[in-house]
Amino acid sequence: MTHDLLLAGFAQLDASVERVVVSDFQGDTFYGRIHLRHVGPSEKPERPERDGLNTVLDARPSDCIALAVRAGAPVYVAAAVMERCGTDMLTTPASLQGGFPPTERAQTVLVLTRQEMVRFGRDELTSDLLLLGILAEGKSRAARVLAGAGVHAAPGRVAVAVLAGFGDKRPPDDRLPEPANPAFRALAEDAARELGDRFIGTEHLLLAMLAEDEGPARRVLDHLKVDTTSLRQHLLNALRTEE
Amino acid sequence: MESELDAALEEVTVEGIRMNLLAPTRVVLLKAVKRERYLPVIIGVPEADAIAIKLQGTRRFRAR
Repeated sequence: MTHDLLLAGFAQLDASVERVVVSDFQGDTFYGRIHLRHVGPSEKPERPERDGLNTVLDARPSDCIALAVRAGAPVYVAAAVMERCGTDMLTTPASLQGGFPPTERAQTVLVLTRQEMVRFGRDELTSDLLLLGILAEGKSRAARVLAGAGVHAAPGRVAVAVLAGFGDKRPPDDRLPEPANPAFRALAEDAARELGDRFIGTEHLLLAMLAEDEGPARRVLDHLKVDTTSLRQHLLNALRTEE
Repeated sequence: MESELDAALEEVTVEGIRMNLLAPTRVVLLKAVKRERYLPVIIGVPEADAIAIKLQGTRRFRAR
């Protein structure tokens, strides 16, 4: 593969991967670096000019990790990135346990929602941020129906910023956040039951948002001039035709 | 310089890759070596495969 080719190239140039670092997080993108160590004169006497030289390459974290697992090199994360974007436990919140289990995709949406909480300085999971989590994941049926209604992540974030602004808090470290509205879980389960499902998927989360009284997600959709009644109908139609 | 650099870095291992058979994204989970802290990083499917191919058989690899 390409990563093996790259490593072979490094070896030909008398360099080896010393370590890789996930060094930064900006916007919604992680950045990485590959630290190369050039072979010294004792190992390669014919190339003394490279002694002790180190080279740092900017790279995507995925490429960094793929190279590190091949080279047997250690992987590091910048302490600031680990503090800001890391989590102490990847357990499913209590509000999504017990009854119907969340799908893998719904769990991915929760991880992305946590990043939206960091972005907006919130310590509570409200449905407006959950909506942004669904939009950030982008591939669920709920996200596709939202895209069909012209709802995308960037304008969604602008709407949340306008309606609710930025706080100075951060989500809890020891668990994935739970919905601040205790009724939200019941709304999502009702939606699942109505559709004959025994799991909580993103479509159920979106239906719960639309059913939530005075809900923050509803306010975002209203702000974006989305007809929530027809959005709900489109989602139900999409679910029916895909079955 | 080396120790100054290390103070700002935390070593991690590749805990696993979470996948959804329907989604064109994967999450690679990095776990801190010295404590219970995780960093989930969203990556593409080919990138995840490039990591998974090497992890399988050589280290604990959990696909869920």
